[in-house]
Amino acid sequence: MSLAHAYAEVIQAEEERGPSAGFSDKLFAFMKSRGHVSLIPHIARILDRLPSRRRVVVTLADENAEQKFSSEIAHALTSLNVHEQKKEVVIDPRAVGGFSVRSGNGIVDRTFRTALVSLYQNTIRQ
Amino acid sequence: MTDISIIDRLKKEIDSFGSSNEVQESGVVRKVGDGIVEIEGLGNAAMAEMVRFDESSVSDVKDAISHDDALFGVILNLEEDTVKAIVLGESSRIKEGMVVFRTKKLLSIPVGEGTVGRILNILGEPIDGKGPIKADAISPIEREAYGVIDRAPVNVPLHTGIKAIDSLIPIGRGQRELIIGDRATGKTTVAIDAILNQVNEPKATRPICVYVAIGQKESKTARIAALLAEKGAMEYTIIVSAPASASAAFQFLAPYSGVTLGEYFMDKGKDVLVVYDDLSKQAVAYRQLSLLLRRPPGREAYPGDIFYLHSRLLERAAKLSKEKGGGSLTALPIIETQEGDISAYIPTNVISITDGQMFLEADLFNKGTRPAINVGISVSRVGSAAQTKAMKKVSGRIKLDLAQFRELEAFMQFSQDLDAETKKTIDGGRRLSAILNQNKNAPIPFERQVVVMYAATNGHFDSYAPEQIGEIESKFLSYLDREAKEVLEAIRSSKEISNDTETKLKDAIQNFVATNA
Repeated sequence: MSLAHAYAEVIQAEEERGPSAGFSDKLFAFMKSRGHVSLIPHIARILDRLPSRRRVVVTLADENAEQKFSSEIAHALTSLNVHEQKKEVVIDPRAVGGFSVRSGNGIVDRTFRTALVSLYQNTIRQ
Repeated sequence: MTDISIIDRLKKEIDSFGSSNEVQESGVVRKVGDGIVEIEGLGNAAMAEMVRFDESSVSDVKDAISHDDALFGVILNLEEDTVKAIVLGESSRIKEGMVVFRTKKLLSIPVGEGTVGRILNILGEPIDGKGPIKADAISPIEREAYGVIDRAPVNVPLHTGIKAIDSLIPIGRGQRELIIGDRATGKTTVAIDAILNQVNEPKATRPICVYVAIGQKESKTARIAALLAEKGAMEYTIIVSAPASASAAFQFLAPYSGVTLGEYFMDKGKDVLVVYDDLSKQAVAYRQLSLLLRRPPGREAYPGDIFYLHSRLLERAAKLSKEKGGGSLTALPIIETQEGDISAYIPTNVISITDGQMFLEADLFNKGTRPAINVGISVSRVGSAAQTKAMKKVSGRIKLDLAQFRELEAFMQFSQDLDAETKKTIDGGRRLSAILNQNKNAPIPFERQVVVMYAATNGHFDSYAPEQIGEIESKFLSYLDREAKEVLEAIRSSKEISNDTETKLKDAIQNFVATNA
C-alpha cells in the first residue's frame, strides 16, 4: 500500500468514527513535519474514488424533469449502486431533455442531447 | 443525399434507436495537448482500447453536430490515476471536462473487396471522394502474426518487373524485402514499379497491392494514385494515406491499417503485396508520441520498444500453409537513410528483421545507373527459391560477372594498358550494367526479361557498344513480338526454357543481330 493510500485510509476511518476536534490541523502538522504535504492532491483523488464518498450527480434539462423521470432516475441510481439520498441535482439546459446520472466512473446517460447527436451521426454515416 | 433519403434514414434510425439504463464506464478529460489526452477515471480500461469522446457533454447539440463523425482515441498509457490516449482526429475538438466513454474494443477498420481501388485514411474511411465503402468485415489493426506451423516455405516469385531485382535479388511471395537508401534515390519508384508490374500477372494469381503512404506529401501520393490509375493498377490496389499534415498518431498507425487491409485477402487465400513508404517516418512519429507520453527515451531519443514497433508489423507478412488457405502477404518496407549511413539505429533494426535488402545509392543514381541498386551488397535471403527455372538459367553468372567487372573497373583507373581479356571483361560488365538499367515506371514482364538476359549473358550482344544496349534491347523485344511471339508465350506459360524454346530463341537472336549489325 502506498503512503497516500495509508493516509486516505486514516482519514476515512476518522470520518466514519465521527470527526474529532482538531484532527485535520493535527494531521496537516504531522504531514508537514514528515515532508508529506505534496501527497495531499493524491490523497484527495484517492478519497474521491472511494465508493462511500463518490458524488452522485443527476443532470436535468429543467426543474420539472426530476418529477417526470423520477422512476427512471431511481432505477439508474440502483444500477449505479448508490443511495437516492446522496444525489445532487444539476440543471443544464444543454441536455435538451431527459436525464443523466453519474457516480464515480459510471454514468447512465438518457439525455435527449446524447440521443440526438447519436441519431445524427448514425444517419450521416450511412 | 436527397431530402427523402435523409427522412427515410432518420425514420429508420429512430425506429431502431434504443436507450437503456446500461451503466457506461466513463472518464473525464483532465488535460489535452499535442494530440495526447489525459483522462481521469476509466480505471478498468485496457491497453490499446478505443475510447469515444462525447463532445455533447461540454457543448450544445448544435456545436456537437458541427462535425459529422464521432471522435475516438486509443489508450497508450495506463497510469495510477489516469490513462493517456492519442486522439484519432482533431485534438482541437477536445475540451477539459469532456466525458470519455470506453468502447471495450480495439481499434478496428472496415476491410473487404470494397476497399480495392480506393484511397483510405488510417480509419478505413475513404478520402478519394468516391462515396462510402461497403465493408465485408471489421478487423482490429493489431493482431498476432501467424505462427511457424501455419506457414509454408516461400517459393513462388513476386515479379517486380525490374531486371536488376528479378534476376539478382529475387523476391518471393510472403517475403519481406527492405528497400533502403538516401532521399531521391528511387526507392518509391522501385516499389511503384513492383505494383505496376502486377498488371502483367494473370488475374487469378495477381496480388492485391496496398500502398501505405506515411508522412508523405499529399501531392506525391496524388501523383502516385494518378499514375496507378493511368496504368490500370488501381483495379487491384488500395492506397492508405497518412500524409505529413496528419497527426503523429495517424502516421504511427497507418502501416498497421495497411497490413490489416491486406490480411483480409491473405486469409482468403490470395496473394498480397504491401508497400510501407516509409517506416523511418513511422519511427519518428512513434518517437514523438512516446516522448509526449513521457515514456523514457533511449538511443537517439527513440523509445525502448521501437524495434517491436517494426517487428510486429513485418512479422505479419507470411506465406501461409495450404491448411490456412495458401495465401501470402509480401512486405516491401522502405527506410530512408541519411548520407548513406546504413549502420544507424532504425536502418539496422529493420535490416535485422527483413529477409533481405536492396541498397539504393545516390552515387549510382547520379552516374546514371537506374534503378540505383548496388547489387553487390543487396541480398535476398530467399534467393533462387523464388525464381522461375527460366530466370535461374539466365541469371546464374550475372552477379559474379558484375563483381569481377567492378574490381577491374576500379583497377582501370590506374592503367590504360589492358590486355584483351581484361578489356573483354570490362566491356562485358558495362554491357551487363547497361542491360540492368531500366526506365522509370516501365516494368518488364518476366519472360521478356529472360530473353534479354539470355541474349546478353550468352554473348549475343557482344558486338554492340554498352551505350547502344538500351536501344538494342527495345528493338530486340519488338522484333520478338513480330517474329517470334511463340517463344515469349512458351516461356511465360511454362516458366522455363525448354530445349525446343532455346533453339527457337537462339535462331531469333541470331536473325535479329544479323539484321541489326
